[in-house]
Amino acid sequence: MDHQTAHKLEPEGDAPRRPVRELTAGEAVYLVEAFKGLGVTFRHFIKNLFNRRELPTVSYPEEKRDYGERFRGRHVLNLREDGTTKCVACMMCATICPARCIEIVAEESPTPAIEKRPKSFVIDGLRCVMCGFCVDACPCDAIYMTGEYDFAEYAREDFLWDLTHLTRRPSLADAPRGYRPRIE
Amino acid sequence: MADVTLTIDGQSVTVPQGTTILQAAKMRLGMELPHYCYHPGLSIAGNCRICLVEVEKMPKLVTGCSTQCGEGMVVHTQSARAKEGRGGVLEIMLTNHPLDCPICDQAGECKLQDYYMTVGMHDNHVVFPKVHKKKIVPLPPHIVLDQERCILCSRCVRFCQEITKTNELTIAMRGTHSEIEAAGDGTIDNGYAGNLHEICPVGALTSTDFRFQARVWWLKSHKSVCPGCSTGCNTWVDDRRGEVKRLRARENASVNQWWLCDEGRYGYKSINAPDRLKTARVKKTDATSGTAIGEVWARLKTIAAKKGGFAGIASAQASNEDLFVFRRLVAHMGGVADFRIDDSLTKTQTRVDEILRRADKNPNTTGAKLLGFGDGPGVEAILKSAAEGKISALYVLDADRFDAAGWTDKLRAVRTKIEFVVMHATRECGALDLADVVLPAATYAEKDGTFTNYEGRVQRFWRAIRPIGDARADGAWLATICAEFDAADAALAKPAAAFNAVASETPALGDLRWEMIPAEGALIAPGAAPKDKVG
Ligand code: SF4
Ligand code: SF4
Ligand code: SF4
Ligand code: SF4
Ligand code: FES
Repeated sequence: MDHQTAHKLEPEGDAPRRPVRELTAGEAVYLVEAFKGLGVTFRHFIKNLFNRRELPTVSYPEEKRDYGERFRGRHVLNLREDGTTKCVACMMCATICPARCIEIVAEESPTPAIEKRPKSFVIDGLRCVMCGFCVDACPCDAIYMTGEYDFAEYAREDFLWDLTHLTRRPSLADAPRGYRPRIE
Repeated sequence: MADVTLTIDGQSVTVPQGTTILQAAKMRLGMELPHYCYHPGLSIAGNCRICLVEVEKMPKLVTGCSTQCGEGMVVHTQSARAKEGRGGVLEIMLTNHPLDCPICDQAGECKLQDYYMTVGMHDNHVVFPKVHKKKIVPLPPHIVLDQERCILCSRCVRFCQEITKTNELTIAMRGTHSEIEAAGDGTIDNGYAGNLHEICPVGALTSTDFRFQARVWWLKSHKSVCPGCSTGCNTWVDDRRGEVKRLRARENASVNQWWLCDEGRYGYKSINAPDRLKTARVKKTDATSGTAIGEVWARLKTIAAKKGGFAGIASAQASNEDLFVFRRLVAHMGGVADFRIDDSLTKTQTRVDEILRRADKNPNTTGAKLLGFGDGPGVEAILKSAAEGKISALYVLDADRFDAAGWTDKLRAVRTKIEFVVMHATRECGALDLADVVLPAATYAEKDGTFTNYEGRVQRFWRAIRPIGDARADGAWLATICAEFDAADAALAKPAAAFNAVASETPALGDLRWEMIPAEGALIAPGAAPKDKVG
């Protein structure tokens, strides 16, 4: 909610207001209350310093949070046993993608049994809304989403995830499982 | 022939004797019965049996495509029995059909998919494994066959027997092992092979050209006319994001029926060619459209004012509208014009074969003639008077054809004698070096207009994609130039206005107007066309 709308939601005109209490003499002197506040901060500081395991925050990136198995993180293209991509460039994912961020160019596969494969496959990570529709649409069990959620990059181009990135990025070796279709 | 009256789904219809139930339902009720083997352009085979209907007093379901209507027949196409029958037929077809849809080019326009949704929707009862056949059988140069996907409707076999009469295909083996096979050396190079992948109702025959280029649901289709020869076959131009991906035949009983020739079908590539001209050029350097146009009219005005000597060379690739505006320019300049840069005129009535193709490789020879371009002195004579120093300005409307017809060298020889040369071109070519100003022209897919085919049929074509770069229709460039002489000419940049202006000036067009050109084209001056000869 932006500032403007928040403002409008405040009671206006004749609408009843919460009664406002008069400040006591102590409160009226600003410094006393300020030091009381600092005391609260200091109390929490000491408590957290000696009870680090109960901290609600994690020290990212050294520490990472565990999400559920269905977390929809960065995509991966699944490979066959022989190392070729399972994707047959059917473009179902590109068709369903609401963000229109999947660009695939198809070509003839040298293996006649496979027939069709992607010549290029690019997901624009900056446009992807991580909805997972592409995973659901894929008839070939080819596209999954991993549990990877750290998306920081130095250049915009690095968000164009191409075939190499999708199939062989180094982090895939120990990438956590993420969203993939349930095979029944 | 006598008529028969029958009842289809409770509605009484009267059709000529000999009409089949499928045709009667379509003709009179606009109802499409499912069909695979039936194609209006081919003989009736009645082998796929998906068109089953129930006819009262007949013991079994009958095929709608091959059963002729009889007096007093009562047909039910939507009865439970008919539907069950069609569903059963589809289920049998799908027993061996592989579920290749993610790979198959036909997905999205496949009749198996369509009918599964309308008449199938059954659970799979098949427990035994599918019969496997060969998946990629090349039938060069245009076709790839997938025997597994084939449903043996025999349309392709009949096409090669009945239309091209070349008999390249046949059905071999028996029963579940039947498969389409090519006879001879396995090529299908009969000049019309592209129609095969178009009529195959499933993805068994695919086009090497279109294979895996785009999913069909991404394509947008636009009505057009093939500019490949003077037949003027009706086409659909299918594009994706402004790039033409394929051409398909558009049915027109009076012109091309359901077919296209391969030359025309695969001729779209020039639209996407990498050497398309994108910007205007003044003295061989790229210029903005404004600068180029400014240069043209400044020079033409001085030439018109002092001594004249203007010659225009068009080609029969130009639309009627573009030619008309060109004629305006010639009139303003008081010059002469011609369009015969090739021998199109003598070839209009020569056929290449008995099906569609004609020797004249231009779509609008008749139109150019009607517009008076044939009364000019001829290109040869124009270049000759240029050699004599009688031409100050030369305007070439179609540098591509001018170059292809071999005039470039002849022009180069006399170039120094001509003060100012303008050329329109869609692609790079040798002739462009000889021009002072080059204007990039839009192809037929990038503009609206009409062509008049060999028999005098005026046919509309529609803009399918945006013109590339700064390219514009010839008529649009010319109208801007003409507007310098007569402000009213600016309106002619719109093809509709240009056509209506042509029509009002050309008695042969009668009272035909842009908005009224019918879907099958308007035949003007019927009987004007002399007898065809097969060359
Ligand atoms: S997750 Fe959604 S937005 Fe992202 S690529 Fe897949 S379909 Fe597109
Ligand atoms: S849906 Fe699957 S097989 Fe199809 S293009 Fe996308 S990733 Fe490839
Ligand atoms: S290849 Fe296509 S057209 Fe030919 S028989 Fe098979 S399904 Fe019919
Ligand atoms: S016959 Fe002529 S007009 Fe028809 S498709 Fe072939 S080239 Fe085009
Ligand atoms: S369409 Fe009638 S049997 Fe094939």
